[in-house]
Amino acid sequence: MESDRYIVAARRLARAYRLVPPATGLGGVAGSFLGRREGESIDFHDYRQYHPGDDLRRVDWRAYARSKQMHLRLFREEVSPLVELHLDTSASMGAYPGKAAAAVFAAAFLAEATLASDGRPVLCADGTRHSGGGLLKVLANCHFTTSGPAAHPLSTGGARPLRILLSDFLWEGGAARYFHQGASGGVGFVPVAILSHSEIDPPWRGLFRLSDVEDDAATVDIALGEKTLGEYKARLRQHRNGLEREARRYGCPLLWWETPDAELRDGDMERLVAFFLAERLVTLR
Amino acid sequence: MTALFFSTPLGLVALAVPAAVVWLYLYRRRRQALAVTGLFLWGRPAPRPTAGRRRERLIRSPSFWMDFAAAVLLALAAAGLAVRRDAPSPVVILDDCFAMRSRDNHRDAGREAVALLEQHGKGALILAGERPRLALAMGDVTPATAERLRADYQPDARRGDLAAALELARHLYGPGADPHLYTNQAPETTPWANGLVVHRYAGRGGNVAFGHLWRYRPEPGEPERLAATWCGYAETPQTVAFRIQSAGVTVHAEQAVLEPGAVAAVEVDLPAITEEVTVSLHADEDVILEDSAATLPPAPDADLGYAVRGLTPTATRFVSLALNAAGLQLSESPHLLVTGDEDETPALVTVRMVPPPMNRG
Repeated sequence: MESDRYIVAARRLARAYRLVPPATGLGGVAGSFLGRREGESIDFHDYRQYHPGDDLRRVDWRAYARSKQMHLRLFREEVSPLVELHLDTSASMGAYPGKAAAAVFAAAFLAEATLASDGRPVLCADGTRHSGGGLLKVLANCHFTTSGPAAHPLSTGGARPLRILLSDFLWEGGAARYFHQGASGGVGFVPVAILSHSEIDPPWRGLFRLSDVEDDAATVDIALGEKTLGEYKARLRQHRNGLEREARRYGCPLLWWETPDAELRDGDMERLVAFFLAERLVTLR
Repeated sequence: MTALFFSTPLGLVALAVPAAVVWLYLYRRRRQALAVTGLFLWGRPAPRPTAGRRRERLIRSPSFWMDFAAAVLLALAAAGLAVRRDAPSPVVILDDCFAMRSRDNHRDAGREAVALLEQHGKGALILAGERPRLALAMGDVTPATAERLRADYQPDARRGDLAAALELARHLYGPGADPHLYTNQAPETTPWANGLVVHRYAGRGGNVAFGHLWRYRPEPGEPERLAATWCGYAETPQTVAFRIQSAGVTVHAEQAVLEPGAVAAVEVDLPAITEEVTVSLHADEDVILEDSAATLPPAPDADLGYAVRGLTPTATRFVSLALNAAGLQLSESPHLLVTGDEDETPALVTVRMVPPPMNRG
């Protein structure tokens, strides 16, 4: 996979965009986003009673004139948001070059958009966290070879991050656990489901013995025709509906993106950026 | 009758090929392997065998039957399967001409011809005489049948028309028959250009036989005389010797050349012989000497009388007395007309046994 090409393109395209902060309060180090605590920004936060020693410049004198009581005006802090980019590196994500490319591009683009927002992107992949310069290096050398669903923990300590999960969500049993983890202890959780064209509309016809790319312990003998493909699509639809129900339960907007099977072209990457823009994950600077 | 047989039975080892075809169809991976994501969306997965091929259900598709049939045919071809058609039953044409008796050829021919029929157990027999005669239609040849055929074969036709007999055989049994000709002739043409088996016997000679023999007394009390005639049936002149012997002693002998179809005659006075005499003809070995010897008792010294019984006034008969020996008519009395009476008294007839006028042909 031409990971470097996608990373370079992502950095180039991300120059015009920045990450959109979530509606709920962020926390973190000083930055350009309004935190949930008091700070020195100009955005009003709350009133509190004056205590001796408080800065008199913050007393709301108009309120004092009305009520003859001294109250301080509090303003929100400006923080630098933590954005965790959780990348599913299981083998199913690498089953198609376009799917892996879309995941790498999306992660790189969102990381760059986070940086453009004075945020701090952290890449969580293969159970390890990467930030700073190591982030793009990990993306460039990412191999989608793990088995099973995304095994990395979504919980983290410290600041409440915005979590973005890039996965295909193709595992049996639902993703409630991940939605719960993603939504817990963070300011937001945005699961992004990336599926290739062949996963949505399989092109094969004939007699096949199917095995899973992540686990070849079991097989399915099937005659692929209109009927069986229709049944597959119905199950996929049912699976997607189930995931969306679970996501809604945890207040997460589950985004779906269909990517080509083959390596991405420039137009494909631009369409993915437009998708993020339309879903208000990023905005123009 | 046809039968199947294998010219190369060892080739039947190739019957392992059809078995291999079945094995291939049982264990051939007919399905294309395909790795997909989200296998649970495609159906209920089955456990994959840990090792080895998986045996598939044998689908008897047209391609399977064609492969199987091709393998079976290959094995049969390797084994040299062929159809054996039994040889047609023989059609035997036996020369029924008297000339077959030359050198006793008829005994060998009869024995061998019947043996051929017995060997096949079935066949036909046509006797080639002056007119062809079907002695055995295409049928089973049992031991009893063979014995009868051998006994009945006594060739005595004046000539054997082989062409007519062969034509009859071809007409009855077609050109696909298996004809065998037993003869001592040389057939000039045959209706079978190929396929006629000729069993040729050597020594086609002539035939000399006595015609008449009489030992008689011209008048009672006179010395006996012996008269004999013999004929030649050869196609060439034959030197024939005539001999009279009594008690092993030759009392008369003479030799002459007998032309074809000629009749020789001799009449000699016998010395005072009271015993039987033997008369015989002798020629070279190619000559058939049939009816060529006889033993003659002394002639009666008086007229012979005989009685005829059973005659009634209304029953009138011509009667005669004939003396025969070994198929030869020795003498014959004139024919007399006799009749009976109401008492059926036997009619007494007295005859003098004298030879008839000799016919010298």
